[in-house]
Amino acid sequence: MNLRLILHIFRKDGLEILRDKRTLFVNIGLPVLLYPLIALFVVQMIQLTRAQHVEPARIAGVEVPAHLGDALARAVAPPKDDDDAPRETPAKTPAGAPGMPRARTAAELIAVAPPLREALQQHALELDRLTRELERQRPATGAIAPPPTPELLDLRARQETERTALLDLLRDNDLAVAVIGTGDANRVVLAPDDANRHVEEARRAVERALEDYHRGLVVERLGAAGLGAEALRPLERSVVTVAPVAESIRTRLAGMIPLLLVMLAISGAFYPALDLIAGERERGTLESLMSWPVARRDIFLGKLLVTCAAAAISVILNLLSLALTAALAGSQIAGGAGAGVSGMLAVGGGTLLLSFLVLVPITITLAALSLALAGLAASSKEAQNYLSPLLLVVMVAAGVAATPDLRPSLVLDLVPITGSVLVLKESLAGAALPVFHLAMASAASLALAAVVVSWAARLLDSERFRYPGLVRAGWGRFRRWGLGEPLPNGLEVMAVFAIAVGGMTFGAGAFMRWQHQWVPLFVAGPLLLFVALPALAHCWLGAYRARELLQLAWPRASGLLRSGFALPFAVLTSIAIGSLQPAPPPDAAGSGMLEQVVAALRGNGLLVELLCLAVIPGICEELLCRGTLLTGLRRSLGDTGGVLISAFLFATLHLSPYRFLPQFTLGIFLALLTLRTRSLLPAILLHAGHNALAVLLSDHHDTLVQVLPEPAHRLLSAIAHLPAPVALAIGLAGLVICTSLPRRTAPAAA
Amino acid sequence: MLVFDAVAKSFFDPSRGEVRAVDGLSATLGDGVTALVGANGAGKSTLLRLVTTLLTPDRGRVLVDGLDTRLQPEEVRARLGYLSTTTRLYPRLTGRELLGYAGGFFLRDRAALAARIAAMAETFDLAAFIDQRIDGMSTGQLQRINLARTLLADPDLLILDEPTTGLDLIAARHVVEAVRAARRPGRLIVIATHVLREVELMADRLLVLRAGRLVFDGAPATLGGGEALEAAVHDLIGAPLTPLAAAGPAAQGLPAPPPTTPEAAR
Repeated sequence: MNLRLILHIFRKDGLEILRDKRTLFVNIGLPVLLYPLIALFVVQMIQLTRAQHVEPARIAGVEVPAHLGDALARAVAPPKDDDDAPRETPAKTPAGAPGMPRARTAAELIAVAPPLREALQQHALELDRLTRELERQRPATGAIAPPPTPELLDLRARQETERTALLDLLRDNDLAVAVIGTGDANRVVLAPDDANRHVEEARRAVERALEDYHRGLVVERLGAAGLGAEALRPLERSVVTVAPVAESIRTRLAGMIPLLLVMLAISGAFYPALDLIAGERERGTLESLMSWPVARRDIFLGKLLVTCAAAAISVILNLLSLALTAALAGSQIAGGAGAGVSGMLAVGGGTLLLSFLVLVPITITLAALSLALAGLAASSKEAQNYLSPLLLVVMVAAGVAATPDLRPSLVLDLVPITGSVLVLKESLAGAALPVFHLAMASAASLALAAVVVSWAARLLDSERFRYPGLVRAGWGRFRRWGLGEPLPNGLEVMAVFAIAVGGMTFGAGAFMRWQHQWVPLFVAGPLLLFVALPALAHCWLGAYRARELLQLAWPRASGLLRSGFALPFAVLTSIAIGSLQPAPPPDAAGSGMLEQVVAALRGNGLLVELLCLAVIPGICEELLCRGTLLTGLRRSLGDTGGVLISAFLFATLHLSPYRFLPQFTLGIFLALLTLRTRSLLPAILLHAGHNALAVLLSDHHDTLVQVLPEPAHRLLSAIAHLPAPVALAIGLAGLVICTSLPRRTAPAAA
Repeated sequence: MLVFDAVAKSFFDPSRGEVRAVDGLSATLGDGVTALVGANGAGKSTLLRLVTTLLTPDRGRVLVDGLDTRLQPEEVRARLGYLSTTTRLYPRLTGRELLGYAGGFFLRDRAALAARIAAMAETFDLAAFIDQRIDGMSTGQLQRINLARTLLADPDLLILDEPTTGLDLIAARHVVEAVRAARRPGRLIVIATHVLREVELMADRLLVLRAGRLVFDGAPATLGGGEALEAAVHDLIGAPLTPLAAAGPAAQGLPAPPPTTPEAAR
């Protein structure tokens, strides 16, 4: 890595980006202009609506009790603090927040003339009577309805007639609701026209009036019983605000803010990514750049730096603009909410700092992904097509974290964007900074970024990236001419791995379905069919050489020795990691698939157990993971990436969260062993031996004690009593030594 | 010194199937100017891209000063200047910024780089437009900037892929002059071209390619000059001149042009 050249590229590409009007507009112009413009628009709209004359909802009160009539008149009284009614002292309505536009009473009470009044009352009361009559005759719920009698049919017909007549009256007079007295002070009939535009406002006004009237009636009765109005409120309560408004709003927005930040970051990275890679090819400058003495990785890193800077600037500007707009417009629109947003942004200096801390790895990952995807495209138009799905994936990954009850956990930390967003959400919500999760999530994001950078650097190095016109001549045995690719690439072997995972999941399903019968068949079958067979078939169909792809070669004796020496250390490491992490629940159903299989295999005899858990997995999984996967991933990602990703996939293949860390660690050393010895056999032996020993130690301890000589047994129990961290350190050290000791060059061979 | 050692490179073309762009070609090129001539698709550009490490050979090796292009691509790229028909320049940079960017990959020292840029500006007479933006320059100005860019680090190996294609008479002439001026001991210039007149003017050695194979390797003068050279090269690339063209202008009822020699043209 040449830092001088990376910065050289950074400076020039940054300068070019600054001179690109489109990127400037999206990354700087839009945030600076967009929020004030939107706020201006909203303020204008609100003022426009305020000034607009709103047609009130029309309410008619017919023969209602006098007190209810007064209550109705109060409920529809014009707003007192309106501009056109300054004569009265402004009174705050209890419903409206301070500073909010006051809820306007857009209703009016209509005085109705006698003929209409009588018609309304007549039809409404009749309709009410008929409806209640029909209600009474309705059979009980669940009973079978008898065929309607002529009387019932007659009632229904009359109800319909009355309904139509009443509706016509309401419509003809443009009434939203009619409130009709029955002559009984304790009973009124409401006749709303639910299809009327203003019916909701009218109903609210009527409800308020009824509430008022209802209260009056209650107070009256209480008075008759010798009680005052205060008897209505046996409990007085009041709430005092303790937390600052800004903080409580922040907690409520904690799920949304990280999502917003991530979306801002990726949209900030979007155009620079397009311009820096696809644009370079489109403008014809790629060829000369590629002919200059600079490593492809440095080119990519330089461009990554520019993309990250653009994304960061975009996020900062967006937030600043948002805060300023909220502060300025807040006083005008909605005092509470506006002050809350601006307060949150202004107050939470530490929060902002943390946000950036969390955002850095996410931004690097997103920028690397955008750049690499843009690199796959032949033009910036095509690159946009590739980047849109990425936007969607990121949105989902960040959106998942906004789920209210989701909290950081070890598994979620490892999901690149989701983990970081969760950490940010957690700390925004006011919890103590989850340092461990922050570290894990950042490491996961950066690991993904490193893989992407490594992949993209190799992509830049491929001829087909520089000359997209070059077409492949077909694949493997199906190619039409010439030599095939000497080795598969990472994507190709991932497809083989997908078959294996699908097959193993299917096998696990079958195992569950058959109620733990024929267990050996369900363990060995999927391994042979879906793990070993795809690896071998892929090698044959792809016309690859088994020696190079699957590492099927005889190792030197030293390779086998390495494997033998590594065995006890591998077992020690696995056991130590197992005891350091949370133990699986004791009932088999709650644990991973592997634990269930192991439990079900017990009682099939030691030989079957060893065959199913050690020998067959050793051979099958090594063929796939250290053969196909390791070789293909190394070709696309280099040695480090190949070893890490193949170990990761190997660990996921076991379908058990509790086996993940031990298998991941084992996978790394199995891969290193294969690289070192250039043969699959030592890894097969180590893997099978590790599994066999694990089975013997856990389930057949007594047999082992009988077979082993006394000193070995004593050594074993001494090791078993080591503290787990010490055991882990010894195990790892042993594995490192066994897999990385340099090969002794035989003098005769030189 | 540039060595092609049994180099082969194939492509797949959906309509033609396998295309052996370079088909087991061997040659050793020393100092001076070597011209590469052949019909379109004969493998000229592919051969040059193999030298610049933009492509890697399927078989065989390409050695630049003894360095294998496949094994030490960056060292090879540090020794060469490459200019092709498809080379474009960053439109949003000024001429000076572009030269600084390109040169920064070759020269660590900023002062030395600035001095080289000044020298190049003088050689190619860039002073009038070097601080303008690339997207505002004319084709001739662009080609001069491009030549300056290629020669900036004073490379020992110059690879020019049809540098005069698409240029007007004056700009093309400028390129020819520049190539002739760029000759120096220890420098190899390989130039692919379709213009045999340029071969006569510039090249010490001529390679004629046909379907990825070398069909002629020698001094251009051995094939004669002017129309004789043209007829010979056309025969070599498998497209002999028609009798009408071979008979010259007189057969078409046109006045004969005055006789020219390479010396007269200079």
